[in-house]
Amino acid sequence: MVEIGDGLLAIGAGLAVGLAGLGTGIAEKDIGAAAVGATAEKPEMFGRGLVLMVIPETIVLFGFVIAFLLMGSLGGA
Amino acid sequence: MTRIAVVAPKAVQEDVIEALHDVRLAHIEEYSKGDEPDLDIGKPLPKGSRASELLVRLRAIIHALDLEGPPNARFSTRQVQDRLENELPRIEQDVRAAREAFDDVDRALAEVHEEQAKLRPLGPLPLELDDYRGYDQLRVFVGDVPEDISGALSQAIDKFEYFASSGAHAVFVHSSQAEKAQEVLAREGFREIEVPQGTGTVQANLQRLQHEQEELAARRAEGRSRLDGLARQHGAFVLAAEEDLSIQVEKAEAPLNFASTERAFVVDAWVPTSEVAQLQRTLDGAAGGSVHFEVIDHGGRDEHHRAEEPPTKYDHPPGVRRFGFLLDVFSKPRYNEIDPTIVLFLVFPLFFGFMIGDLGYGLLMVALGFFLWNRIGRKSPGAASLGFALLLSGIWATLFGAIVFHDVLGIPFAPHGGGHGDEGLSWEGLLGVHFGLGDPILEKLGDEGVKAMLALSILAAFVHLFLGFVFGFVNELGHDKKHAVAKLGWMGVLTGFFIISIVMGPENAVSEWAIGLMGHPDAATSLFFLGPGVLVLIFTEGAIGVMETLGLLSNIISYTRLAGVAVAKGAMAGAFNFIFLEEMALHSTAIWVVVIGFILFVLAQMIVFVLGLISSGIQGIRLNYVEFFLKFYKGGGREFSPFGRTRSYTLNPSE
Repeated sequence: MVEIGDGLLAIGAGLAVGLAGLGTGIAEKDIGAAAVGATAEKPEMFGRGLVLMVIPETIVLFGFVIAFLLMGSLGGA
Repeated sequence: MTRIAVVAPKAVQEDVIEALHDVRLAHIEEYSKGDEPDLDIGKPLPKGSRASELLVRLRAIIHALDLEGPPNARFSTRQVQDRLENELPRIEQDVRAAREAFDDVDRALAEVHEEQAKLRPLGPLPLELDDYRGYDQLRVFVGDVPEDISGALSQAIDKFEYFASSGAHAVFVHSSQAEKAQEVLAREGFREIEVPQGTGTVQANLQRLQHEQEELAARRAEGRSRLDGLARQHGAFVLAAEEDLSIQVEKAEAPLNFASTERAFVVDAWVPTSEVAQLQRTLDGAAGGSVHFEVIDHGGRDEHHRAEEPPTKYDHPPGVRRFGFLLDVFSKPRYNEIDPTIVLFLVFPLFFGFMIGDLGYGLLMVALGFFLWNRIGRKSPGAASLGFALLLSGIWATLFGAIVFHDVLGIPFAPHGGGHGDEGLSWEGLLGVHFGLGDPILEKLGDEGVKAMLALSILAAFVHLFLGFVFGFVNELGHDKKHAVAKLGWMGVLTGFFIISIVMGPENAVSEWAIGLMGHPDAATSLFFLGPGVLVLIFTEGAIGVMETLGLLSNIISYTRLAGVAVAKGAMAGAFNFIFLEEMALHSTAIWVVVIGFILFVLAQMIVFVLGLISSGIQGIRLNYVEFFLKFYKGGGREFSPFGRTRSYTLNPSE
């Protein structure tokens, strides 16, 4: 039997990563489109474009850290 | 890379150009008009214009005949030049005639196909082509409609004739009711199609077109073989001529890059330092000693603020050379930067292999990589590089799968939990033998295994990024002392973060080992590194540097994708195996379930393999490009492209 507390923790962890991922995806979508456009015109831009595109990755990693911490506290159960 | 200036009288200009082109050692820096008040740019040699004319005609022939590919015969430049003027007009004529005839037939064939496409929907209707037109008082609508519309029509119009069929539908109405009919048709989604001209039944017309098509197809095949014949006959010669003339044009236009006066010219070029002596000897031999050399720049690695950066020429041992491609995709290194290709060569396959971590997939990768490298790679250097990288990664994947994870195609060697009872699929169970290899070092799908893999990823992050900072330190030493010291600060911050994550993370085998190795630090020890690191950053990079430390933390955590992808692929394969292999193929009694289970199992394995390749490959290279390179790499180097080219269709005059 899973306790309600654990269940809520799990939901929280899921929401943390999921919503963070959503935010990151929305952020990277436009940057990525611009990066591909720039690379199509000037192939040398690939490296710079790739780097710029992954800058928002920090957001999802924060969500992951929160989820991890939450999972850690329910891991004992 | 040494920058030299070659000064000589115009009398020997052609000889110098020939020598430079043949030896392929000089990356010429274009001289821009106005750099020096007394020097102009040179004029192209006169033979260039005639060569350009002929070149245009030759290229037209090459295009018309679709010539390409490795040469099956080689001509000497002498032969080409002797025969070209005589033979070109005739070849041109033949090719043009054949090509035009072929294109005409092609066009006619396309028209026939179009007509056939228009006629086919009318086939099922019981009308002849004449019945669709020529009426004074009737309007005809022919087209596609999803369903029978006679009902809808009868509501709006009292008199009409409606033909439905599996193809098109036809509606005949009196002209006065045409508008109403159109309304109904528009409502019902009627799409009008064009009725082609002609008389007779649709079948008769289609038959006629069929005959025409066959005839045209035969003529087309004739035309094609005529063109192929011409290609076989003249192809090698034309390609050789094109190459020779292109080279002539290159040489003739070379003076445009030189600085010149009325009687002398100057060539400004970069030459690999080890080849300078040879170049001087060659030029002296070609121009009879009237050439003067001067070294403008010795190409020292420590000088960082030149007007023009030297071009970069890779100097890799044979295996590593293939990875230069991966580096070029990102950005070519600058002249005085550390070349990270070797690290890429070592690290990328390791990451890739770890994320796949399966003996079966690893072997497949080795095979696929070898095929790409050896077969397709002969034509395309990109494919060769990818193939080689895949081959190396496959080897790592096989090693990881065999030794660490004990996985083949997502099925473990031995069942989880020591083999009593029904723990799921395993090779020992399937084959009925006992390998006796013991437990896997890391279990992909187990609790302990996942935590250990996460810790391993963080460890990889630490080592990789530390190396990146070391490179950055070395790169910046000659450049800017402040930036170099900043790198030291970053190393401190990195170590601090690493200690925190290992000590405060969940317990697992890898963390225990790392903690033991470091002498059992606790969380406070990390401050010992973090503190000074942050201080150094404040002094060297300012407050922004401190804010960026969070970015470093995110970079470290980014490496957990190594574990993430590995576990995800393992879980996917495991899930598919469970459903298709275990439940359907092995544990079911109905024979059709078993068969479908096997088929789906094979399909699922292929899907997992391809997805694994793509995602692991991209994540692996992304970790290198983004997290690693960002710590030290600048890129933006110029490629060393020497004047001259290797001949494939013609023989060098000196040969």
